[in-house]
Amino acid sequence: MSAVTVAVVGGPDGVDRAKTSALVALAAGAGGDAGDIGVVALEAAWTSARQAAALVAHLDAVGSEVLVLASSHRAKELGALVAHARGAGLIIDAHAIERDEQGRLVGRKRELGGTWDVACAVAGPAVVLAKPPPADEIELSPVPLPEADVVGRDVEVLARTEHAGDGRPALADATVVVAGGRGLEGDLTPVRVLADALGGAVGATRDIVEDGWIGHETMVGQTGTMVSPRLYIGAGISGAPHHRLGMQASEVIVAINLDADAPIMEIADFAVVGSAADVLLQAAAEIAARRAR
Amino acid sequence: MRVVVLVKQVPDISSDRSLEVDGRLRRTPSEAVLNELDEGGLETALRSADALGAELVAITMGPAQASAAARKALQVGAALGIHVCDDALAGSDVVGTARVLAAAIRLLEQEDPADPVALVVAGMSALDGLGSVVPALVAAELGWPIVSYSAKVSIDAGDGSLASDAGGHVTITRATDHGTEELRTSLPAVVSVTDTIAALRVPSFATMLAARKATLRTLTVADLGLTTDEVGLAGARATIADARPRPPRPPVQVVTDTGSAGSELVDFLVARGLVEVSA
Repeated sequence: MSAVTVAVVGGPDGVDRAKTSALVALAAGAGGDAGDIGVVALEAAWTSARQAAALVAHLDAVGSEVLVLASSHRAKELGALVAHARGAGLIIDAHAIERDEQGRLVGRKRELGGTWDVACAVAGPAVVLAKPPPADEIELSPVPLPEADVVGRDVEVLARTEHAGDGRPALADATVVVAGGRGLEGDLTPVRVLADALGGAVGATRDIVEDGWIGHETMVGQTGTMVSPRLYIGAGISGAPHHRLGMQASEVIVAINLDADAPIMEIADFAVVGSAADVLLQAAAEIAARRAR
Repeated sequence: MRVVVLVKQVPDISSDRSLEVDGRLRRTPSEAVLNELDEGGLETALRSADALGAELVAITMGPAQASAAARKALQVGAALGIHVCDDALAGSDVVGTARVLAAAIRLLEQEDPADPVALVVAGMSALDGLGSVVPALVAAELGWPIVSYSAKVSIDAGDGSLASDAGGHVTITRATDHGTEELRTSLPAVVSVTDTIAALRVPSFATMLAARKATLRTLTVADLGLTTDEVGLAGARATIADARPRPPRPPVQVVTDTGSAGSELVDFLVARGLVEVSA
């Protein structure tokens, strides 16, 4: 069995330990013992083509057949370039991987907005863009990869800006997401208050992002961030298709809307017909009161 | 000079979508629409073609009814529509799809070397598979740079040459995990765009009329110089081993707020073990 390589990109604070641990736990499904999994770190400032060149050189050198990356927009660009260079098959957005009886790598994933379970099989080299569930944190010492030559023309980075984090968990990784829509009437304070009471991330619909109520990084949906937390609370959100596709794989869905017939109510586990702001603030106050007892 | 836009027909996301027993997407012609995310790609391609003084060519791949996607591009001003249609394409994975699309672009250049392709534009994702990797794979096939998820695209025609410092360039802005970045590359290149980039223009009378007269060119796998074992299920690196619908969600519990719905919500969360309230 060939070794498996997990590649992570260093962020402003180095490598994300929780996320990397979850990737390693997922990678173990590809077979072999834990020592068979190599963890390498890529320079965040590099272009995708430079990262891909370094990864391909490393995978060739160590004879690693399977590459596991945390799925993100940027990782999809990187994963595609590596897969092409190595003639590998791509498994996209898998939450688990395993070997089947023929030795093929099988990725388990959800399709069509979380309504179907699909198993995708690759024989031979594979690149897995993973969406692993949380796992226990482990000790990690990722090996930084040296530069390798990019074949052909590359893109040039003209500028990069970083937006300040809000101290809450990242939307894509959060186990709880509280999201707001037009029904909040411009004030997202109730969403933030309940998100903080639950230790969750703040999400938003495309409408209110386009209206400028909140930043684009909070947009939940097929073209924003696809989320599948343990708990999703949608407040003042009607549930347009592009939003629903981005959140309907969530384990438990709570919807709060004045309109009992809003599409999001159909896919909810718990639906409240009422004013979103009132219900969110009361729930947050209730959690605080019960904790104080 | 030419600009290529990649378009795809997908099942309407508000229709009842499903997979076939072999895991392939069920494509019901009456519920097929242009991938919504391609609309921004099409508009960006039209503007880029203007900036470069280029003609726009729309390329699509899919079963017979999929030609509607290329026809839509003709209606808003594309000069030529190409539909790659072949039974051997069924079951293609993302790598095979990119191979076919890249081969169609290469064929355009081979047939008319004096009229090179300067730019390929695609939507960031198709709403059926949501893989988002085909534009990058097409770029890799062609050996061109890729800039994906562009939220803003600007074209500089330069001196009109390609793959040179003084020639055409594209500059894009995109969101990253931690902020935004601005990237620039020489042409030819492949660009994928987000859905917020631009709304698709309304067809004009002139372009509608031209579209009615335009013929769609249909190409087979053999026309592209590919063999049937390089594409479709035969050429797929990744195949569907199993597909089944998930069990329906349990019926929704509905509460109408009479002043205590917030507390009832907390009761629900506690009962499901989703919030810790006890010390």
